[in-house]
Amino acid sequence: MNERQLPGERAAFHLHFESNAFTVGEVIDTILRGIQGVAPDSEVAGTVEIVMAEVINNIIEHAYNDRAGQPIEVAVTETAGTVDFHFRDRGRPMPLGVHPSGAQPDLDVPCDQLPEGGFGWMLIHRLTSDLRYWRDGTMNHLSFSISTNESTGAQGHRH
Amino acid sequence: MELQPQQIDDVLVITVKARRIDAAVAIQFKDAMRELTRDARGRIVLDLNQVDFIDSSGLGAVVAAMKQLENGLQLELAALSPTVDKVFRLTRMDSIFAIHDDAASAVGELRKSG
Repeated sequence: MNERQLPGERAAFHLHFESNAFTVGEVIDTILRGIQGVAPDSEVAGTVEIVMAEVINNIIEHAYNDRAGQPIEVAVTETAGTVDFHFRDRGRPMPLGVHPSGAQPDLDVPCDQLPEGGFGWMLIHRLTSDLRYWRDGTMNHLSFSISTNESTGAQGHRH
Repeated sequence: MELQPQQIDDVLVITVKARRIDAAVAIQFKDAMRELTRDARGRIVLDLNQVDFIDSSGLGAVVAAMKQLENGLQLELAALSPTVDKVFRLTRMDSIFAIHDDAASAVGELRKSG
């Protein structure tokens, strides 16, 4: 999966997989193993895992309407300080042609009215930068970067 | 997904025997929790010590598991992994649930307070 890498070159790989809610965990593990600059079990690995799960679930549930076996592709490029992701799928476009804003759902409500959804895009927005969505013919594109310098103030390993 | 219930004094501790609570198991989790908590009277602690990861669908299922409790019972959480903890903090759901370091301390707090 990994391309041969020369010193000073950027590490990059592509991964093709099919929409299937039951194998998302395995796909994420494969992506994490392919990223050379992020240590397993590090806080950045946790960030990547959260974002990958939300992005892939969104493609499966909304672009492909929970249809299994549909194509998803991700290109991953490592640069100094970031890991850049570019997802492509052939599902339905985002409503209105834009990705959701990721606003914080209102939690100041009685217990029986607490929101059970609306957190996915919020997590994606909070944990990525340069988030872009575009449509190209029959294809959805989503690209974003994740910092490898931990900056979310979360607990865990620091370097 | 297997959920293992254990009554410790007045606390029902439910251990999630899975590495992930995600979109693939969210509905199953919510339904299993409904069965286990149907006749609950006292405190309920969800022990997540075996769970490495939760996504927003899994988070929604945990919220749903609390909302379906009767008599205004609250769901408490214990033993969050760093990544699970991060999801709860970023979504501010850590302000909704009582969160304990582990199940033993969750049960112990009851004893301490009488």
